[in-house]
Amino acid sequence: METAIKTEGLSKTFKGKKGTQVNALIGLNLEIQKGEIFGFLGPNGAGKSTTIKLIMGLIRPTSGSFSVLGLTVSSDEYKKHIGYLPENPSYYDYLTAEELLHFVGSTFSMETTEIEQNSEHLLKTLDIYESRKRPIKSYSKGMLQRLGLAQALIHDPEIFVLDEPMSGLDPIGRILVRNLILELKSKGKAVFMSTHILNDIETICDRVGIIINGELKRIVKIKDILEKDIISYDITFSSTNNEPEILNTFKGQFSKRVDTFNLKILPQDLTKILSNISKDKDITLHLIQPERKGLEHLFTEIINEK
Amino acid sequence: MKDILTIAKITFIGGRRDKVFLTLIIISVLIFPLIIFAISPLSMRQVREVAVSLSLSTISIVLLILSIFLGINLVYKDIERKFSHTVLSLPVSRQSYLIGKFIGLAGIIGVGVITLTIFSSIGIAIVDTMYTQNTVMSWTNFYAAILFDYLSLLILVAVSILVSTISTNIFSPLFITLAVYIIGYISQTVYDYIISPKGVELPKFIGIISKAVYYIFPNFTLFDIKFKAIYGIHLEINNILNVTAYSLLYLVILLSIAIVAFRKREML
Repeated sequence: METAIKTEGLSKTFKGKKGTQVNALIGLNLEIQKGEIFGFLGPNGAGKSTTIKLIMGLIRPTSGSFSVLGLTVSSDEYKKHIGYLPENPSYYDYLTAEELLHFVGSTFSMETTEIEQNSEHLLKTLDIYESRKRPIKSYSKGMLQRLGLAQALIHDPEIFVLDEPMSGLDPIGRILVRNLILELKSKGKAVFMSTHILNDIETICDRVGIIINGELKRIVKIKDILEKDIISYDITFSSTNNEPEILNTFKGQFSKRVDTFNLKILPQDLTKILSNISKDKDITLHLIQPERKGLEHLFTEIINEK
Repeated sequence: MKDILTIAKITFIGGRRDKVFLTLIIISVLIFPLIIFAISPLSMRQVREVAVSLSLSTISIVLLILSIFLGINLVYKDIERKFSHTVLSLPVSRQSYLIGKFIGLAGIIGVGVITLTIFSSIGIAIVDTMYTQNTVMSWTNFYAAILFDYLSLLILVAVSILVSTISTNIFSPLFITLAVYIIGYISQTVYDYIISPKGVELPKFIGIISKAVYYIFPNFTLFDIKFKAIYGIHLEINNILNVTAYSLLYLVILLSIAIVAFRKREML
């Protein structure tokens, strides 16, 4: 796979008050591939936005470097390959959505007809087409976020840098954006997104980098988290018998609902219980749900390592 | 170049849709009939001269407010409200951004100049026909005076852009731009005094500081040819060319410094 973004020892130190220094980012080594959704996770002030601002050329690194599509960054030209959504999108609010997209498209040297076609498609996809002639200042937070995504997508770049893409979106908007990001991946685009929302990372990301106090603590594959680290199973079944035998056989937590039983068992007991259930004619199995350590557990674990 | 024009266009649209811009232009357009039909006739003998004088002063004041307001509003606030972050994350260099901003501002102030010039010209032409005049109206001088005003204000816009690129609060651009305007108008008088016999007697450091200020700050008195426009005094073409070259030189210097400073600025 082709490397989309690569950072090597990327560091940023800010000068604080009274000569103090704040290490916002310390020696970040990261490689994001095309066709991958990479989540960047960390608490507030961890260095996520600093990393993104460095990549977008809004601030300069104290040391280290980064490359985009294998090209060392020397001018602003590399930005032509990136679609960027800032954390709190702030656009010329006297413009309409149409005008903004036209402006952004122009900076990418797009033809007017291409801009118009892409704008219409994106505004419709993101469900803000009806508001396209309204000044941006009248937009809600969610609409601004959708518009931000539209301007990041207008030139169909190879790489997307999205800072909190789900921020301010309603549930429908979140599903829409989630599907959009997955569609980008299917087209072989690279998506580098920062977020606080663990569920979003678990649902759409391929890998996640966890950053704390400017240091990248760990990079993990979401697949690994989801496939491994099962701590228990929740088994839901119903029985014609009010006190099924199985509850006495297995040491676990059980609870009774109106017409079903719920049993929480250890992973090693799963095969045995399934065998017992299959033998017991009174029992009807409804659901087996694994409970994982998950990203939340991993994140908390890393935070506590401090 | 295309990026510069794209930024200029956006800036121009921003200025055109700015309520302060529209309000100022409408108010000043309404002032002209007052000047023509109510104030100028009070002078009895020099009705047209008064009309020209008041029209030029109105244009100067309106454009000064406009330049300072828009200069600060469209650059400092751009940075403060992070509009500039969005633009600079696009493949637009900081240099193109600043030059585009300047051209856009120059364009919108230019629209103000043209609008006010049209209305004041109509007013003065009416006065010229309504009242008997001893002299012939010099339209060349009148337009040259407005052009000079425009050039001086472009320098002021460049100052406000320069200060906005390095400032972290809105007051610095406002006060520094105003201070440059005031210094630019008094530095010639101070310089003339310093080199006069009385000025030579002053402590040496005052002379050095005054001369430094004189040479560093733009001399706005060079741009003030209102009296030539009012009385139709001959205006040499060399004078027009020299002042234009002087303003262009200042613009290049100020914008170059602004670009260097802006390149170093971290867009936090």
